Amino acid sequence: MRRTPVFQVLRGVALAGAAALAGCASSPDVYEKHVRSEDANPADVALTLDVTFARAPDYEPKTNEFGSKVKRVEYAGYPSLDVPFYQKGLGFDLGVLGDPRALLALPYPSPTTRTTSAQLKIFGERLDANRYRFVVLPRPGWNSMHSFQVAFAINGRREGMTFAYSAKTVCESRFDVTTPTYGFGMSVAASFPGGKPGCLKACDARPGYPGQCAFFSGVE
Amino acid sequence: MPAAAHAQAAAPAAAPTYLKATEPLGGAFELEGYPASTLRQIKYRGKAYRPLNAYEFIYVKALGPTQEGQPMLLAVSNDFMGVGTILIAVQNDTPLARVLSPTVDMRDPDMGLAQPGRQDLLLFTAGSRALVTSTGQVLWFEHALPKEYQRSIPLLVSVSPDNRHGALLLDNEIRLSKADEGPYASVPFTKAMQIAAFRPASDGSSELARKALAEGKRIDQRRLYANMKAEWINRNFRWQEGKDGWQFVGQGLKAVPLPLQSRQER
Repeated sequence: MRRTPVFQVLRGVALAGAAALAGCASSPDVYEKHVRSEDANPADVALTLDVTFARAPDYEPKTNEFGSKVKRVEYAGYPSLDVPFYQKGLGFDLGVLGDPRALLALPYPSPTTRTTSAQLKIFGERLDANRYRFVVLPRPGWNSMHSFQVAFAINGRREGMTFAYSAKTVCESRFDVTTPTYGFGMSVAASFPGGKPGCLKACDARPGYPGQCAFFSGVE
Repeated sequence: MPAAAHAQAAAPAAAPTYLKATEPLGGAFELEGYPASTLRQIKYRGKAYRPLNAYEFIYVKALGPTQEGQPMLLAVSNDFMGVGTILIAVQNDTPLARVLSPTVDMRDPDMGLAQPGRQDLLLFTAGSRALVTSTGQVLWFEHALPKEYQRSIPLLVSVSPDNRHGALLLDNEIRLSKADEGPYASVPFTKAMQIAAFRPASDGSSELARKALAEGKRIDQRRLYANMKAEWINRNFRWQEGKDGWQFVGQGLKAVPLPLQSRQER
């Protein structure tokens, strides 16, 4: 057995310190929260999306509960909106004064900004086999990316179509699109709260990455 | 530094190679990239366009047909981007991409196989997709029945003349599938028959791959083999429209209808 060199102990202490500090900076609730459109408070709604799928998407709703003290409910098995959010917070990087190989190198935490992201999964309200109504909701304490993905499956083939929206510009928010992977057709219509005009654009981000619009990321 | 300045003074007409250059691609599309690099970025109306989050492309070309006055583009991404061959078309003034081939390979990108006997159809065998080059229509055919676990990997080997039906080669059969509806018939082209029939394709593809390797090129032998299988099938089977829809006949085999999918109206 060799004795652990002092600098390794120092480095361990510094890393533990940095980790503790980083924990202090913020403790974002990054769980993907699941909500059902029909449970939403109408006052919170940022956008209502009516989707008519050309082929009926899979509909086998399931409800799962997790957690013992704090209950967390998840839904699955039918079309949903994946809405991404981000938060800028303070984090710490580990800086080192001096040569890290030397015995008396001094590690110190240096503050940086960290972007954390979280998602909200909003399940649609089924109007009939092909028609669903979704609402886009804000997540308290998080910034919106003004984008979302309609995630659904037909015959077990999972597909996602991404959209960007804005309440500040005006454009035709009712159109037909074809999904990127399997070419499923869907027609969408967005309405904004209070009947105000707004803008909805399709944008083909990779399915699963709704905040990364291919073209209209800067609709706002 | 002085050398560069001198060179610039000597040839003011030539564009400097260290700056990004844009070239028009037709319509509102442009390509941007360093002249010395083969990687290009796509711009639409002066703004970067990153279809399916890929932003660097090794091949971008206008296909020919247009949509909303904008050309349709056939593009192959850089392999780091994780997106293979795609088709870009403008809908409602928004460029939108469709996946043609999931193959991510820069040395030998999947540019499709022209279906023998068809002028305007490219087969992308691995992803069960096809491209009608005259209209830019992308076709995809489902091979599995609802809830069916299918262990063989399908190859799209042929598309019917009406572009609505596809033949998918599975391990023990050829499935006939209708676009938007799914498989409807099965041709009993069994494993034993396939082994005998594809022997020349197997030998030919390994011979070609060996030759290419000797020339210092790397080719995707598996895709070459798949494409040679598709060629063999197109030579030995043909589409026939009967009273019970489009059938794929050849080798004395008769298609068996698959159990009708009850579209579960849930």
